[in-house]
Amino acid sequence: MTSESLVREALHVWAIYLRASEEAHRRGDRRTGTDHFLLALLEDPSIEVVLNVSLQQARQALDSLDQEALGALGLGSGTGVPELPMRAVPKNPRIRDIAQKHRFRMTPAAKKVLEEASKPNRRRLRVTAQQVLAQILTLEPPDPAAVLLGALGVNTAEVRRRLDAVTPDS
Amino acid sequence: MPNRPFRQRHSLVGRGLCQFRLTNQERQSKLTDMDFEDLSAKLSSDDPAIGLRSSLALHRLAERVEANNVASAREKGWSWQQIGDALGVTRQSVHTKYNKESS
Repeated sequence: MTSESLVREALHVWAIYLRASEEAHRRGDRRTGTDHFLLALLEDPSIEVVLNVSLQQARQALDSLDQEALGALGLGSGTGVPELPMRAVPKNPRIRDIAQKHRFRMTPAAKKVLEEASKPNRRRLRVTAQQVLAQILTLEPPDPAAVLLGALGVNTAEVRRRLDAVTPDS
Repeated sequence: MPNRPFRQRHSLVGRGLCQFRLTNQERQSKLTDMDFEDLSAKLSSDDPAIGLRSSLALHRLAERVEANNVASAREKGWSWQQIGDALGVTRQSVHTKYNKESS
């Protein structure tokens, strides 16, 4: 697949949020942040192509950042502790999927990313993965998504140029 | 030493002093001199980005340790009440937090 063959499928914002929330749960976080949104987007193969990074690579990079941070305290890597299981996420979630299960709140930065991404759309609850990614690319360290992109060696200017080439209206 | 007040005799601040009846003298001096001072020095690192990331990483690690051990306790037949007691929270709060994951 090339970046030119991207399919701009509109997703429900709740679906992206639920995927990100499961990533947060897997890592042991209690809030859904921009780094979890980036992992959720990487489930879409077209985003993997645009970033030239796989979901596994991104997860490993986050684990490495954690190991480095724990190592700075002299506490070892913490790699012996297994990750928590992820739950299945419906493609078209309903309100009960959000309301009934135990869900995490979003960090303010993550909430802003979703709001800004869906702003140009007539239907505010539908958004493309590319629109969300474009918002994430505007973030700067120490935001967790920006730190992750830095750790993965992603050239954000180049990715933004590629996204603009494919989605000139966003 | 016996003439000093209780608080001074059993203070954790003094070099080589141990927790009253809990930790032997030799081990406590190692803990006090090495681990705690070492950790304090590392925590006072100049870069807050590393410090704040370390704090989040510790939260994550603690959450994973807790969730894995709650699941393990349930598999071994512990009641929510027992798990709540061990964690110092009510059985309702531990049940609300974990029943979706362990069921």
